[in-house]
Amino acid sequence: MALSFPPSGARRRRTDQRRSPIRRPAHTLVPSKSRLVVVWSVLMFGMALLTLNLLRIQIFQASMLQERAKGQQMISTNAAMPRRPIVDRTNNVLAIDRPVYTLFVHPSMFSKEKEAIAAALSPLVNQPAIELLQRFDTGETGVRIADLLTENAASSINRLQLDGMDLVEEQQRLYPQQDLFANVIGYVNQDRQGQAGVELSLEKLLQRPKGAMQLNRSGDGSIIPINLPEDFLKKDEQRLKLTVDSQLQRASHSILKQQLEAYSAKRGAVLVMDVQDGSLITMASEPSYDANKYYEASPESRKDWILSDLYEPGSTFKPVNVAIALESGAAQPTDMFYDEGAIKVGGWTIQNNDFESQGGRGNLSIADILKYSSNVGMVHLMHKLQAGLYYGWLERLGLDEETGIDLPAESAGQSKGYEQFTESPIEPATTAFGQGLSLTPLKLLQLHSTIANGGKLIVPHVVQGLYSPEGELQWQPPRPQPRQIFSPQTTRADAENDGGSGH
Amino acid sequence: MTAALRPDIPDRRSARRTAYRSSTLPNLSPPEPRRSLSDHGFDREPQARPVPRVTALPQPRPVPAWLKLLIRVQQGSTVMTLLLMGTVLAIYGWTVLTQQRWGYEYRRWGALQKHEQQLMATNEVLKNQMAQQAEMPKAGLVAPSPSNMIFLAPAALRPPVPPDIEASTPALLPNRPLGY
Repeated sequence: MALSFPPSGARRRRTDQRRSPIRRPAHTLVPSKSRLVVVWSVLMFGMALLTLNLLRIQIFQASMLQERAKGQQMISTNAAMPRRPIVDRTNNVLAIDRPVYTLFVHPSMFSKEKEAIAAALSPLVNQPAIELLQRFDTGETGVRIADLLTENAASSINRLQLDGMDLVEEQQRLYPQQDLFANVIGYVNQDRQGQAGVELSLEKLLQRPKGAMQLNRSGDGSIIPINLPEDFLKKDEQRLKLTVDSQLQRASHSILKQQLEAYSAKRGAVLVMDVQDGSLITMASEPSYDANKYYEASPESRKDWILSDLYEPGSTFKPVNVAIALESGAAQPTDMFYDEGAIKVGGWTIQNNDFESQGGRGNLSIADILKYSSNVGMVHLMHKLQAGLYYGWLERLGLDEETGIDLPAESAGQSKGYEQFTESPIEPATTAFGQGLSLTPLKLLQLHSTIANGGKLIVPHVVQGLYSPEGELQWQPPRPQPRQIFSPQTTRADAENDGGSGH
Repeated sequence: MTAALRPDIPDRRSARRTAYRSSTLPNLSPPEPRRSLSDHGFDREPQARPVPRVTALPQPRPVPAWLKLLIRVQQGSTVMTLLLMGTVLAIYGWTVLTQQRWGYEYRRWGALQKHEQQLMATNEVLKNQMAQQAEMPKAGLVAPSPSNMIFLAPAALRPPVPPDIEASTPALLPNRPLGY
């Protein structure tokens, strides 16, 4: 429209026509100052309002709005990075993170009726609709409805497209083998802190080093690839590989369970170790617990007693003593010892296990001593070695030291002090058949492995290292060099003699 | 809607004329109206024939080089501006598009990773379940033991057979095409 008429134009024209015979041009605009002023002031008023609003937004509310915009555009991904998976030597997964969701609802934002929402949610969160309705009424926003929802349940809830739903992603540690490796791997608590086993001892390594990040987000919620951290797309997919073997562990476990039942034993363990490098292939112990439900297990069963509990090794210590006697030169492999069946040492009587039934066995070779597990024979054998030297050998074996395994809460063995050991003759005598000292099952395994591997004191371990998904070694824990304790000749002679210790 | 005023129409002719004059002969001094009338033959009254005088139209002054240059520069820069605008729009569009694509692919990547993780976890859980089922007595499976294995004694070494060199030499084929 090119022209606007004043509203009274038509009427005025009519009166004009009546008043004057001369026809005036119909569309002439009468310049009106007041109209100009009105229009001008309306425009000016509008402009003033706009300016004021501009001032308000740009100056007075600027900081608040900037913050709000930043809150919308920036997201900080401090979200828990998944912990590294733990795999066994054949790449079976022993521990892995999986995403779980916590559902919060905000009833004030509901766009449907509460009843309908409760009915829709009920099967997905496994809660009766009535209960959900009651929960909805407990708060306006942020009502926690369900924890540990699976990915499937979460996507089903998302597909409902309901307003006022808030799914928060978290990571949950899953131990697919349940109780099989609980003593080795341990578990993580609610705060995702390792509490036992490898999860605790290698906590730093398992947590992935990706700190808080600030990312730009576009309107639809996707990340804008601007100012991204350099290693944003570099995904660290290394996994922690252990030396254990799932299959062997499982077989050991089931046999162990059978044996425990057969002997109505309280606990038992099966340890399989590669004696050359100290890698533990099986570390089965009973009673065990389901690492996924560690909170249901008693603290006693959560303890890895293979490492932490001391016991008297008894006759199982005899081969170690034989190795000491041979290595020190106190005895020769061909020596014979007279077994009376029972002797008195320092006022104490020492007798064989089977003295009641067998009596004295007479002359025995070292092999026979081990075969019959003769206590008296062992006392005679170790008596040839001076008590002080004997003590020195026990110290070299590190009896009261830890093995240095890469698992937490290991206990050191206990043995008598030097004074006591050398002054009272009963001490070396009882030590000869494994009494009067205590050590962990793992320490005994370490000592026995010296006989099997040519005299080296190796450090038992369960961690192989960090491996890439392609199977390349990326990191290996530093390990001390094995100490040579016995000569290979000694250990060979000892191994040939060892026919049946441990009765 | 357009509303046309009907005012007193000005003399278009003279307006055009003056416009014509002022546009084509900007540098001429305004001639006397009489002559101009006679020039156009409006005046019917015969008068003394004017001496036909041909006045040379002034040559248009040659455009100075700097002006030409400036005009060229202007034309060139206009073209450049248009091209640049087009390029800028294209680049901007491309960046927006790539960002969108990136975001889409990134989301997809995240989803795939999540699925991979889920698959691994499910796979291991199933493996464990199967192993547990196999351990059950009614499963009818037995753990491998030496008693239920078949051991084969290695066969005695066979006497070495000397290779027949002559027989193994193939008869040479004639080196010619066989198809025709």
